[in-house]
Amino acid sequence: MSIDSVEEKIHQKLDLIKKKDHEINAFIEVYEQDAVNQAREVDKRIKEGKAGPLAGIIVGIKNNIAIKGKLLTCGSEILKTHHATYDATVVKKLKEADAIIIGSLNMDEFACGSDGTYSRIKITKNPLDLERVPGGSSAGSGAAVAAGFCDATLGSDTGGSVRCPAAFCNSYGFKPTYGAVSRYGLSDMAMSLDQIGIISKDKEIVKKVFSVISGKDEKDQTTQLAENLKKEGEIKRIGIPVEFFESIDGRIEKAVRSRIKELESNFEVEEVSIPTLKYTVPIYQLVMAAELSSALQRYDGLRYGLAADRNDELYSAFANVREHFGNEIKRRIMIGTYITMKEFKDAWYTQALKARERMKIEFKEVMGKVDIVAGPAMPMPPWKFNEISDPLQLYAADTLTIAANLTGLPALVEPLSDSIFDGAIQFYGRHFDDFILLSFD
Amino acid sequence: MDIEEVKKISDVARIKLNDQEVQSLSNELDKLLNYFKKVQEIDTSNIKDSNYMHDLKNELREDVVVISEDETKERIRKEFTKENENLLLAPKSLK
Repeated sequence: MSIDSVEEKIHQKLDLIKKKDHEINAFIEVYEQDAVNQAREVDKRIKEGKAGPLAGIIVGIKNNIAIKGKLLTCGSEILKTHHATYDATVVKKLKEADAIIIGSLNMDEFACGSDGTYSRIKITKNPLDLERVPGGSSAGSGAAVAAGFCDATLGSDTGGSVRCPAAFCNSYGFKPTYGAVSRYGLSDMAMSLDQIGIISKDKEIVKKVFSVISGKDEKDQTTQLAENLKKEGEIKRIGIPVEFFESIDGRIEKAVRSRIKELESNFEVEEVSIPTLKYTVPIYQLVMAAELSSALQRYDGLRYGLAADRNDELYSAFANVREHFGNEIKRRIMIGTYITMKEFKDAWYTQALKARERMKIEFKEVMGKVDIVAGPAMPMPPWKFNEISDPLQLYAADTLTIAANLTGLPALVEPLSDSIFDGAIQFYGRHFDDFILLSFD
Repeated sequence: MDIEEVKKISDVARIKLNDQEVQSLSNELDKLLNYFKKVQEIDTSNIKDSNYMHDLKNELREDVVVISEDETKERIRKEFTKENENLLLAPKSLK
């Protein structure tokens, strides 16, 4: 089917969303009129020969990234009616590059979750199998790509929240190097781990979007090294950490190993060991909970979001608003508060930070010998709704993705077949080797 | 984690919990911390802790006053949970 204009393309997408999203629930809001207006503008610029690098690319945005004047719910009860007052840097850059922003996407509350079911707004389904979860926390971002609603979506990835839904929805999912993309306008979950990432069925689109949104931003100090992003480089050696294959679903292991076999014809592949990978979940849960409990202190019902009762005494006014956090958020805030208390800090939080440093050292050593490491993206295929309710079991699902956040390394997830049961392979690259990782084949 | 500890932490975290939540959190947090305890097995002698991902340096800039547009001010004011003559109204903090 040939498409003559961006306006025509946007109408096709909007029709598809109208027809199918009542079943999938990927969107929080669809910006129908804005998208059509924007498409007309872009068509005009294409005719004038002035179109930006993303002209005609339809993008959806996870609802923890600010779009001026639009709802910014973070999937929560507390921000259910909150509107962003400014554009995030990534949104500003997408608009300037002539991408069409079609709507905001559902997510687990404050990005805490691995399957989307912790959203307080609605439950997103996996378009490839409606009885199964789409992955989380960027649930809508994965589903919107799989359903064909968007060419690309943005999500945030703190422990795998972009790569998990990408793997569960048979798409590419990319978490850039920490500091490669500005977080200005992204609602913090855990500030030393958060990074905005991209999902698409087309790796070239991932690369194009990354080119646009990456780079130094004076509004985010952690991007000060983004100028180090390498445009070119060669990949010769691939390391396979043995720890990545412990407790993996059999069919996924088979599919990943057969892809690795394929790579052996073009690259030197060798087994490596990164011992701290056995401890990713506890290290991550502790570091993340400490930062999360601090980041979520801002939701006090005072300035925006759910309103604190002005007749209450100050502290109870806060506590009464924060009662509206979901159970998972309460658990994590309680853990984060506990492990950072003076009397427990050394044994828990400081120890977790040191363990993370140790993991960084181990990765540095291995990645001095190999250019990338590879393994499965998720240990299991998407589960059915209500199949997993134990938090520990859910946390364990993140075990292969979180090391990239703990070390700040870029990571790319690549689908292996048309079936969600074959899983996806994941590649970790060196810091700021993002373009190399996205070009490697 | 006993009931009193859960109550103490929820007080520090400023989260109101009902009795049932206190009870279930007491069990859940025990289970979680018991698993997270594995982190204490890792040998971290001679390793310094750090809160930061990369070695970043302080970058200073000129202190320039940027006046927000009226439209932005209006958007922020509209998000206030309670206002009084264009000012954000806070709960009483003095008795």
